[in-house]
Amino acid sequence: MGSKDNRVERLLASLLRSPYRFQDKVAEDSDFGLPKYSESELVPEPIDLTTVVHPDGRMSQYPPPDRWDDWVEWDGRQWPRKVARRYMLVPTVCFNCESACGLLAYMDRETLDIKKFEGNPAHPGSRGRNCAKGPATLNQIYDPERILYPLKRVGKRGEGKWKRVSWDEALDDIAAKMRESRQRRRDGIMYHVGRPGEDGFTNRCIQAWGVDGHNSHTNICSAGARAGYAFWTGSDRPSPDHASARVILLISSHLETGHYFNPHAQRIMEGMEKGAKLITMDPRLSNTASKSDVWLPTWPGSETVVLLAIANHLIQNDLYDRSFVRRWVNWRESLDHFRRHASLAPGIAVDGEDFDAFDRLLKKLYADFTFKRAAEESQVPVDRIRKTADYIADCDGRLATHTWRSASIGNLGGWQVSRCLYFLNVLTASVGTRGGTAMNDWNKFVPKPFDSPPPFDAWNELHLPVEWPLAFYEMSFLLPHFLEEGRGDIDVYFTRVYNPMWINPDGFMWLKALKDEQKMKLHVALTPTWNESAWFADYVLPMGHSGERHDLMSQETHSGQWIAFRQPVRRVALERLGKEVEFTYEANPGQVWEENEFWIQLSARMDPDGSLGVRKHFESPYRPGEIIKVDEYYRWIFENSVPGLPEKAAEEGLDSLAYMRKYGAFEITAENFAPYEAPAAEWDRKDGRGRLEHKGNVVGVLADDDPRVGFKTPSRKLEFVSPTLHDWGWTELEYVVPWTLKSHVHPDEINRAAGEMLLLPTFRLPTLIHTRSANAKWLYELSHKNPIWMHPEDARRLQVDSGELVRVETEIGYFVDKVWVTEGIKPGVIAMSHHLGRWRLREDAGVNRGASNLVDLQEQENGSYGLRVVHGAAAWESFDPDTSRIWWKDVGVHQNLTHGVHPDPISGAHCWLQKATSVRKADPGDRHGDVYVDTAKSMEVYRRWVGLARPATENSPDGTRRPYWLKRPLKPVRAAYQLPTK
Amino acid sequence: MMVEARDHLIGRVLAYRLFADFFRDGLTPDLLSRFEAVDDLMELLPRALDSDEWGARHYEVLGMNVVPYAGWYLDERGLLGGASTASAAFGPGGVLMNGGASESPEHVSSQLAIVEHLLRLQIDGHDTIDDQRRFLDDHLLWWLFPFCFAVRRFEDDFYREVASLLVDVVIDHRADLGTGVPGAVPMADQIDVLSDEKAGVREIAQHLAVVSQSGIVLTRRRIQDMARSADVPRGFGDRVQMLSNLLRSAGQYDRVEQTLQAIAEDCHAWKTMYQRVRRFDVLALDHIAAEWTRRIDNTLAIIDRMSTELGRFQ
Repeated sequence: MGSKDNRVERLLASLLRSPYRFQDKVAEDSDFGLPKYSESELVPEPIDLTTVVHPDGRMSQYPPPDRWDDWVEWDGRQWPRKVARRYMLVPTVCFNCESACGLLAYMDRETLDIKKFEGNPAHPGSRGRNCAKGPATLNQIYDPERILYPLKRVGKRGEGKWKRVSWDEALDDIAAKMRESRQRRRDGIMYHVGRPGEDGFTNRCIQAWGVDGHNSHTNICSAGARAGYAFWTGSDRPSPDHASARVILLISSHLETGHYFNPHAQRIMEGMEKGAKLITMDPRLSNTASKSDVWLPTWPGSETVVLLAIANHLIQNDLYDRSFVRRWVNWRESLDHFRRHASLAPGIAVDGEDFDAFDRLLKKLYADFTFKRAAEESQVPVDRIRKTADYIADCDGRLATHTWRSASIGNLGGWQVSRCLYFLNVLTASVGTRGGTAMNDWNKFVPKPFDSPPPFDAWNELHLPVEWPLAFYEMSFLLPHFLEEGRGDIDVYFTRVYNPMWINPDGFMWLKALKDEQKMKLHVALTPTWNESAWFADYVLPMGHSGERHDLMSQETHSGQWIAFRQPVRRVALERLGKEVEFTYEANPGQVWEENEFWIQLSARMDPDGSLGVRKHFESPYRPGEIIKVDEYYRWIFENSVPGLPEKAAEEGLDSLAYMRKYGAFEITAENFAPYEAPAAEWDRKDGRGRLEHKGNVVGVLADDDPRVGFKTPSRKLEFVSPTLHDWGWTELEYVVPWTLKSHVHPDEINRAAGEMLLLPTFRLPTLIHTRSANAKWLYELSHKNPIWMHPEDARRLQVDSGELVRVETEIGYFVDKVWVTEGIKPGVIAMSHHLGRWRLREDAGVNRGASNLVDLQEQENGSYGLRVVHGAAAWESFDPDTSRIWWKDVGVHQNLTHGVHPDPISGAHCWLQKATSVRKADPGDRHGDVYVDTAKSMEVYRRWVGLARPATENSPDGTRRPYWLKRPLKPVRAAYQLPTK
Repeated sequence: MMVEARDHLIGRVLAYRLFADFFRDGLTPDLLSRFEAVDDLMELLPRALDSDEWGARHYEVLGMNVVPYAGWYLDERGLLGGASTASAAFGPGGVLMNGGASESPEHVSSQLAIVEHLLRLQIDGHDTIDDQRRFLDDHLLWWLFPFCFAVRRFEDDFYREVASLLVDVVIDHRADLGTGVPGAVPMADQIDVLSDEKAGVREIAQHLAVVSQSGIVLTRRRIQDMARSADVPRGFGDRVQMLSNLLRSAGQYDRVEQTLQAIAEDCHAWKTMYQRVRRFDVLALDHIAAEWTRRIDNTLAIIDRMSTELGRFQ
């Protein structure tokens, strides 16, 4: 017995000495743990549920809204025991992808813990349905790794030493630095946002600060597509009406798989059930491609030639809608342009002034875009292209098309992909029609707040430098390169739910910038969870997930308009129970806050005496002189800016805010087709281009002599020839009209015989969303690795099989990953999903241990960097037993680090497709996850691409930096557009 | 070295968690670093973890030979959720049983996690002593001993040592819980297989293969070893089939006595292990070990009768 005793004592003592003592963790986060649910003695009553009959015939049932305050149901997890739970149901909005689907939080009425998130049947966009990412919000909220308290760095940047500070301490320190910066300059504060997930709140704050401070992620996301759409329509985002389409044409499934998976997928299915044909252009056999009527596995960069071959088919065979084109395309302006610039298309003369002359011009211009040529360049069978053209010719004005990232953001000149795609909408008159493709600002509704600060008088050269006058928008992915070149510095840099070092190309350049305290003087990371960039911040401030914050959102999910209200559900529940909550962090786990209240308090402290002119924009419209509360902000909007809402609320005896708190969403209009056809209201003058003016402002245009509102382009028409592109130095044919541009990964640029390949690094998985989903255990169990897709032909050539390691060399370095051999990818192309390959530098802190590799980061003095994986995902002890059940190890490879930056000279988009200069079996010393980059090469690649630009200083037609009509998230005063006189 | 009472409880929690994770996952990188804290296992730990090799070992021990599920040892009266364990399983605060676990509630790791949970509640000030005692006496100990003994008899040093430590920890734990007598035996009564005149080789094999009937665990590996030492084929298939083959071919090759002798030696070895449990002078342990010993004695009696019958024919 003595022997046994000794063994047990020794065992227990040694375990107590080990770093796995759970009680330390318990003591640290004593008020945070697994949700607790109480048992109710009530028994669920049989009542009529709210039944939503979906357009595809299926039905879903939900608790009726009048019972949401007090809902009892059995807990299925307790079976065979019969345990009743009593809930309060509070609607909110998902915060994972951007489509803003409705969620309904089931909160235990006693503990106020959340049991589950289900769909909100009152939400017009998602209609009660969700994808996997919505319910997985529960994982994010009860994530044992989440950041619960404001943290301030105490060691060196990146050393991983932090101390907990109070919100007051953080606010005072940051506000003082902002004030000091604002007093000196108007370009020292930068807010770098990933996906906003809200409509306008923060932009209003930045405008109130009076600085050019908005920096978006758009040019690694949608800049290419935006530019193409904007040059056609003046609006920069499409909104297809899939549900009513006869033909749906997708340039990859990127959007339908990612951003808009739930609202779009359900409407595509709806359209297909009614007979719509689905056509997908994608070099990869995605889920969507596999369900399509026609899959066009185009060589990346050849999409435009296929689209123009279809356009040519419509034009040559008079299958296009002449009356629509005559009514809405700037054909007179286009004829005039070709007449004035005869060298534009040598041998093609304009032979008249009427529409027939334009028709003849089109026929001559596009005659070379034959199916045969398209088949050769795209490496797709000609029959499939012809079949696609036949479907489109038969669309009857109901062609729903969509491109957002994929080819538009992949290729040099990718902006022409959306321009050529929308050309088909124009030719088939599927512009904003039922079943056609509208623009997002016709379907997205952004209400005005109580106060709109005036535009700022500043131009931040780090956002929009002169090289890219037409960029959509800020050149944010080049920020570290600009800093490296000494173009400026930043006093206060906010990253907001954004992880620039991980998500941008050339991440080691970001690492250099984030560590440089001279160039980035204060870095504040607002984030719910640890990420690679936040590790190098000065403050890490915990912000809420969906269900822990206020935001207002609307998206162009279909042809209607709606708004949805994201709410901190525990706060709402407390208030319903009669408990007063001053700030949302009082209701959230730990001291997790919401940005809106944070910005209000920060702005007020930045200007305590009002001398900067900031404070007045944060004073309550209801309590003069007092700082506004978040409730008041939304109350004012709901009472004054949302048509129909006050009346609808009154029908139920509620005020507008109470209605939105109850339902979480409101439909403004169910249908909004072709608003450009709305009659122009008052006008007093017609100019030489048929535009209508009122008091000097253009308010419409004559369409076949009818005064109409028209589009947002300078001509108010759909611009076939883009005078803007011509005027800003892009005078060649391939820029001014829908045309093909030679991609940087054109087959001529990829020497396959020498072993070069094309790396397609951007495809999405519908269960993940960038870096936001790393703390959702259910999602990561579903998808956690990103092997290289490789065609069997290439695998045979390289003598590799599935699971074997290959080394992929890019212009600036290399990475090592496992290969997955599949016929689902085109020969010569390798593909990797872009969500995965997260990493952390310390075993016990940083990115979630079930979702990241522990890595050894090596930095050399010569500017080269390496990552080596110490180990992959692993189980660990926490209050959540699931963390000890992590069974996967491979969490992918961080490929973006090895991507050189490719700024498109027009759209400013980072052209994501990469030339793999070598793909080969890994060396004996290579390990899965290895990454190496030489940042000297990074700068060489950067400079090469900067050389493609045509700067405003040399090409501006009017001495300004940028066409004033082009969108910017926040526009400065007009005077700020003037180029420096020097 | 003595550890303070609260620390002792915490140490126990960590130990049960360690055992639960190990018997579920085998030796993972995370577990390797946790085991490195355990002095008694240091020498058996690999310097570098070959996950494939350890994955194979885990499968060999628990996937192919020693089944880590309660249902293999007990009948439905003893299974989790059955009458004898429901109250412990849904103890204070409506304790989650296996809330969201990937493994069955009948898996040893799930059941060790229950003990861990009850201990955590005790640390938090809840009185769970009765629940712990009831869960161990009415359910877990009945099959944890034969499970651990079977692992101990398996030729894998590391698994053997971990199983041995787990037995020590659980005995130490049970001793601290004070007096108490287990409820009804959660296993079917033994059947005298030879009382049926029609019983043949297959029925005898059936008896030997069912743990609650024979009182011992004859793993595939052990059957294989017996066949090898008797130099007779044992074929393939499930354990009953393998044992049938073994007994039948032992008859054909005149190795019956040798084979029965090997089984009898196993029975004695198992009895020795239970005798050690009875030495701790804990009533509940004594009661459980006595019941298992009685079953093994019955098996020995069957073997003895078979030997006698065999002698009559020789």
